[in-house]
Amino acid sequence: MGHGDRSGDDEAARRARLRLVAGGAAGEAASQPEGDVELLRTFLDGGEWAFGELFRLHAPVVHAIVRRYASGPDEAHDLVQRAFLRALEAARRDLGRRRDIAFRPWLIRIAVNLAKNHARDAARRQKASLAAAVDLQSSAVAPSPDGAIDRERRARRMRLAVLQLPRRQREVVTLRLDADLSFAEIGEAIGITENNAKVHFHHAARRLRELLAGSEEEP
Amino acid sequence: MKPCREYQLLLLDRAAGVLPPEAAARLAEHLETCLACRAESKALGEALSLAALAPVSEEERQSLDGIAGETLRAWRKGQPRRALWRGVGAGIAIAAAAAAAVVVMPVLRHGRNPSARPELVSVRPEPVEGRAPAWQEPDLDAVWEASGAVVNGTSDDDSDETPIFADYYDPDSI
Repeated sequence: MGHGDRSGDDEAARRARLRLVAGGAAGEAASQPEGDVELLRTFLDGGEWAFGELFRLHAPVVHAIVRRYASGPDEAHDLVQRAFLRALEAARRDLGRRRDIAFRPWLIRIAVNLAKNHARDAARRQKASLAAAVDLQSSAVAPSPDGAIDRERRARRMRLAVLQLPRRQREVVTLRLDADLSFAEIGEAIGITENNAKVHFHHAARRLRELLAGSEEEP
Repeated sequence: MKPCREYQLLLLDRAAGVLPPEAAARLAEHLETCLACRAESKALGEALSLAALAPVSEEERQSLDGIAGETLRAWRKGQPRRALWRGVGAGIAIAAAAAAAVVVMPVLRHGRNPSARPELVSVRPEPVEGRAPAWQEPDLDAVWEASGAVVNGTSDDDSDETPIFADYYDPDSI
């Protein structure tokens, strides 16, 4: 066996090991931090395939976070791309100084910040862009008659209400409802305790429930 | 009709999907007999399910896969620019060294002839301890809050936070 074959085998073994550490096909949702760091190091050392793994593992959660604030799929994709580029840049800077970084919470935080800044800018530019975002979310639901129209109207009101929640409540609710993150993961990403994240969710749920009750009482 | 006080937290945990099995069983038992808590549980569930986005469509999922390549290309595109800036930095350093040499060489030459030595003003730099601080990326939360879009945004207390879209319109008027 020549040297080239052996290095090819080594590379394949390394990829397989990284996939196992990162969760592989079975662990789509949550990779392990050490797997992320190894993938990052591999990517930054020139192994571009490792980026594909990182993207496959984390793009769905980033997309889930940003799509509520985007006015269309292209805008959502642009935000996903920007979140990854910013996280990679930060990882490159920090991996030189530190041995370990928590890539996923970092990426989630970047996505949350990008999304909220995007929403703020859009609201300043043109308030109707938010309506466009909510319309887009509505159009993703198959049209259906009568009672479904009323439900869609109420859903639209609730989705707008989510965007009107105070900052922490909005972050926690969207990370829970949209990205399906645990409260521990939410807390880690936005820098609060798990219990605090849960309390914010409770406040938000009560507020949304009161709003729904209020809107149903309206003529 | 208000829900029972002692079951309110359990109702919220159930709505959040984090109710442990034991507590879930206790709540289920209570819900069988309490109309008010049953109504509250239903209302909370409905509000959250209405607030949730529609699931990601297959089309969206597929197009998301496509942007991995685009992101990688964008990353690669950023690399030469960084290399260019490193090159510019090196160029500036070389130019600064050359300028320093131009200034220092005549001084050194005069230094060989003490009678012609001009009186030097102090050019000794202040001692620098350690390395210059590295540039820190600004905290986006701080920038966000400083923008004025959120009042008291750093507070974890919800009661006095102002939402982004506080002055937003009536959804029915859209």
